[in-house]
Formats: sequence, C-alpha cells, structure tokens
Amino acid sequence: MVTAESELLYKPALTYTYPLYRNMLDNSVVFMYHGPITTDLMIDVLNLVEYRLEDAGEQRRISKKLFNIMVESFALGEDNRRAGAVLIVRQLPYLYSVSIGRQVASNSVHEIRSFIDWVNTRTPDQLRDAYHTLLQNKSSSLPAQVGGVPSISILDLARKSHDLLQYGFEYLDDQATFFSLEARIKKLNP
Amino acid sequence: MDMEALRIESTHKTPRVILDPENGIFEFSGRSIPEDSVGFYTPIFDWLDQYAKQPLPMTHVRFDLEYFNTSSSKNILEVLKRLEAIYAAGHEVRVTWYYDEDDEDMEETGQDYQALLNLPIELSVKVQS
Repeated sequence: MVTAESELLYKPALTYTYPLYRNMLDNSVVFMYHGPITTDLMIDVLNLVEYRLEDAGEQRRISKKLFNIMVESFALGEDNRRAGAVLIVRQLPYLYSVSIGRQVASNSVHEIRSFIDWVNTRTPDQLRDAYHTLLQNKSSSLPAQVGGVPSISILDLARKSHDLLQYGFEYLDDQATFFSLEARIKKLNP
Repeated sequence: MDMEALRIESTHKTPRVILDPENGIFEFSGRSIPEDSVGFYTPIFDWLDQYAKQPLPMTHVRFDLEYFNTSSSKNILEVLKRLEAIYAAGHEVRVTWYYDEDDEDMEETGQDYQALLNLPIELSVKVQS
C-alpha cells in the first residue's frame, strides 16, 4: 500500500526543490527558515545574514535596522516551538522585508487583526506613547499579548520599520490558523 | 562599602555586566537576547537593591549594547529605575547610553529611557575603532 508518507519518501528531489527555488527567486527571498526558533538559532541566522549583507556592500544603517527588526521578529515566533515558525527575508530593489509566520489559535484572529489595524493607524508619536506604556507594564487599555503574541513586539516592529505592517491569516482548522506578519525597511531615508 | 563586585562575562546572547561598588562604575555591554531575560537580570536587580542601601556619592553607568529585544528592554528599564531611586535619594548617578551612529533604533531607545525616567542619561555616539 502506498501511503502519503512513503510517497513523500520516494518523490524525486527535483519535484520539490525546483518549485521552491523558483518561488524564492520570483519573490526575491534571500533567506528562509522553518523550524523551532531558539536564541542559538537566532544568533546563527544573524551571523549568516550579516555575512551576506557585508558581502553585498549594504549600508550599515540598513544592516543595523534589518538586524533589529529580525531580532524582534524572532521574538514573535519564539513561543511557537512545537509547530515551528517560518522566517523569511526578502531583498527587493528599494526595500528589505522580514516576515515571520506561525500558528495562532483560530479564535484569536480577530484580536490580532484588530490590534495590528490599530497600530497601523497610529502616528509615530502615538506609537511611541503606546510603546512606553507597554514597556512600563502599566497598561489599562493595551493588552500585553494578543492571541499569544506579545503586543510590544508588534509595536516595536511598527516603530522600527516606519511603515505599515503587512499581515495575513490562513485558516487551517477550528483550532489553528497560520498568521504571518511582515515588516518592511525602505533603503532610502524614511 | 563591603559589597563584592558583580561580574558576568558576555556570551553570544547575554551582555557583559560589571557592577563595581568600590569605584561606582557599572557597565553593560554586548548583546542582550537571553532565553530567560528575567532569570538573567534578577541577580542584577538583587545586587542593585543591596547597593542602593549604601551607594557611593557618584555612580557612573555605561550602556554599550549591540542589540537587544523588547523583553530585555523591560529589564533594562528596571535596572534604570533602581538607579533613578538612588539618584532621587540625593546621590549622583550618571548614565551614558552609547549607540552606533548608524543605529537610529539604539539612539531612539536611549531617548525612550530619557523620556520615561527622571535620571541624567547622556546619549553618546560610539567612536569607531
């Protein structure tokens, strides 16, 4: 009997490596990781990306910002070890993009979406004030977490990227939904 | 002051910490992305609580961090709040927050702490070696 697992085992490598390679090229993906996110892994990834940026002669200002955004993006995937998370770095002509994808509870989608929409409609000063409130743990109206995701990390990404956060949800089943959040860094001064 | 200095060597994910009660010179340098941020900073809080009972007339604190996450930001704020209490009690405390001139986020974090605390925090561009 041919099971799905045995079918996967004997599948020629090219049938999945080429589409993946093509997809990465088409979407300007320069780095992609899937699996549990740990601090040790974060260090390895940062070293790898640093090497690539240096090799490409990227400006230090951009490299620093990309690093800071990656560090905080990792924090969003850290507590999702069982299901693992996806981290993707894309390099486009005028911007870098860092996306983190992870599973969240399906019943928390509305809460996460509402919070990101709220963040995306704040001015830089309002974002700073909200960040200060959460940093001091003295929020009466701002939640510390939205759907298991630290809200201060979302605020931090919005402040650092100087751009709207892009997000999406892919419903998996009644329990789990795949959530992705993207922060963009423009190569020109904001 | 008969307290012992607290010295924690840096790792690839935690900062070097030197709290020298004899000279009143404190230093935090390197990266701060520990897996257990509270676990890393708790001995530092305890040490500072002891130091606050009998601080030197002048304490100079140097932060020279490469990068850190928001979890560490909260703990660094707690460190600074303890220094703020020493300052409020009438002792001189000077904090220097170093940042790379290309790192606007690190500069902005220093500004955040300036805004949140009643403590002299000087922002200073790192001199490239």
